Amino acid sequence: MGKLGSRRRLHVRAKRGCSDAIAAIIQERSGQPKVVYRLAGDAYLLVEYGEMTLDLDLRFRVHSLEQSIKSIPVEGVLETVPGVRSLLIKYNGLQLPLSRLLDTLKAIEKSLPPIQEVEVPSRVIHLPIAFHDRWTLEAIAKYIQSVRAEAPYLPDNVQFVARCNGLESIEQVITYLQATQHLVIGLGDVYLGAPCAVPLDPRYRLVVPKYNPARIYTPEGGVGIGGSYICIYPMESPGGYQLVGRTLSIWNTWQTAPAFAEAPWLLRLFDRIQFESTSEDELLNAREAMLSGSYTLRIEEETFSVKEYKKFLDSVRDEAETFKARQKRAAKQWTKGY
Amino acid sequence: MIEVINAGLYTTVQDYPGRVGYWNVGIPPSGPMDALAFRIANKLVSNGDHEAGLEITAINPALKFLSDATVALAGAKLRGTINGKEVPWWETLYVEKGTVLSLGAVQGPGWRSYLAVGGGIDVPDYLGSKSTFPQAHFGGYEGHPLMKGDLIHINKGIPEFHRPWKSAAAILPQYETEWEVGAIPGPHAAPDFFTPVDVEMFYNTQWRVHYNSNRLGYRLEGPKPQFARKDGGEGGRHPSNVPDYAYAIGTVNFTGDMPIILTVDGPSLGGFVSLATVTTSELWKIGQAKPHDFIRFKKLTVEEAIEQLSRQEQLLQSLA
Repeated sequence: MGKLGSRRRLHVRAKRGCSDAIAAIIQERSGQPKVVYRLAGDAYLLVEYGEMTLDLDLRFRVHSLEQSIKSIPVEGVLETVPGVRSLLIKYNGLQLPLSRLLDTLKAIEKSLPPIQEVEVPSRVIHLPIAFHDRWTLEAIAKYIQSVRAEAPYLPDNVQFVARCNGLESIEQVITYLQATQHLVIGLGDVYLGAPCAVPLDPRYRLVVPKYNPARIYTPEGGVGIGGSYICIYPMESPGGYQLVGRTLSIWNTWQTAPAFAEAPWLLRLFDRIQFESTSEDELLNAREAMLSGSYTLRIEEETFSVKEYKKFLDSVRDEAETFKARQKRAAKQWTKGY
Repeated sequence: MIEVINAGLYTTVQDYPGRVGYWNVGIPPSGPMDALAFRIANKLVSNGDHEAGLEITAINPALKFLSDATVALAGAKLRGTINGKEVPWWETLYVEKGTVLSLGAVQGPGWRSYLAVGGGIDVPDYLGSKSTFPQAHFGGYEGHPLMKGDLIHINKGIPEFHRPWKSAAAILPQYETEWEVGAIPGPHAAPDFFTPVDVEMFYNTQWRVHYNSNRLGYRLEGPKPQFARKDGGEGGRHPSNVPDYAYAIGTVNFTGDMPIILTVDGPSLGGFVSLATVTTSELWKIGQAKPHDFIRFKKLTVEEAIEQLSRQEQLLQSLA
């Protein structure tokens, strides 16, 4: 019976001209993004929104879907994991057949609010950062010694970031990284609550290619840029982002510090990271004080409104375009033959 | 209690289904690479599914039992003797206090072996699981693979020798060196990300397991895909790049040109396309594939995969 059923389904797919990796599609309609339901094995479904661009709107749509699934809740759904424009749903196929999951999700889709109306709790977290610090420079030196001696991003990642974005100096990169807040849109990129964060102000959105091949070593607390994302490394690990500085620990296995009272990870989705430049010594002090509980992280509880953000984007549109054009010219020159 | 006389190549404490529920913050489930053999071993000693046991990779540790125990060995067969007799596999085994279980390297097909102990291994839970995740130094025995001199506690459960003798002879999984593994197309396939030729190549290729394969992922050697796109657009330069999304365990991820099957200690988020995903009931085969084995993927529908999973669960229940 399963076989007959699947053959019929394949036929339907062929008629629509779409891939057998896709279980269903909802086309874009007024104010609602296109939805593609992609198969990810027999225990996961990947719900993907819109087109393949880095559009924050889609991230908020993903959030609405996730909230809705959690609030119902859908029996047989085990876990949900958000990405930049998609939601991975883990389900028990023995309990919840794919067809029923799809019907439920399509019904939920109709009930989701317009993206413009979405508001989410969002903390502003002030993180001290030592830019262009000795620990990340040491990691780069190790890379040069053991992996690759010459690359456009060597020997100085921050210098490379400056060049790729048409900036004049390392100091300017440091200014740009503090001129915008970074919105956490993913956690665990890669592992242990590591944030995948995007600069909210497009006038300061630095873009830079990743390492090729990857580093074998990155210090814990290292801050890197890859593409237009910012990441903080939660543990010593390999990595591919261009390193710009080092900040506090964002993971604490045994929850020994008050900042980790609720969970071993520090950051939450939709937190906004505000970097604040500090010296290497001050950073070391802050890192130690955080562990002993004598360091108080500055956190403001706020909300993030998509509508307000749109207004802001409109107000800086021209400046953002100017920067983007400059950035494009620079990238063309400095990433040639990359 | 068990004393580790010799740690073997890579022996870890694992439980099933592992540290689930934290994929959304990037904590992998860990747990056995071959959940089927692991669960069978637990059933052979009348443990619940969730009790922790040992995952042994290719070379066995030497273990001294400091108390009487009921144990079962499952998975890849290792040569060895206990009390002068060949060590039995896939059945309940009673060992007396003072016994040393000392086995050799893996013989024949398969790569990972499992040791279940009546009552289960007693290590502290971390985020709800006893599974080891050595990269982050938590779970299992003090966050690391077993080392010489480690003393492993065993939970007291039903008194030893009151656990009935069982055999899994009737439901033995078939081990090979050329594996056929069921997989479902997606999340990224043709025509958007790969060409139809790529997809055909993928299912027709005997992929060779790269020596640099482990619990994070299995690298596969074979032909390079052409990809349907020239680059990854805003996702990145390479046509294998897409905006970051969450990975399914068992997904066949193209990091550049090389496919990697992401397994139980793998990353949760990333920006590379995945052509197919290994089905739940076949994922154990990846755990038993050893470096230089071959893997061929067999395209299945979700309905077929769920049917196979249901049959596998029924077989497992027959051992209960």
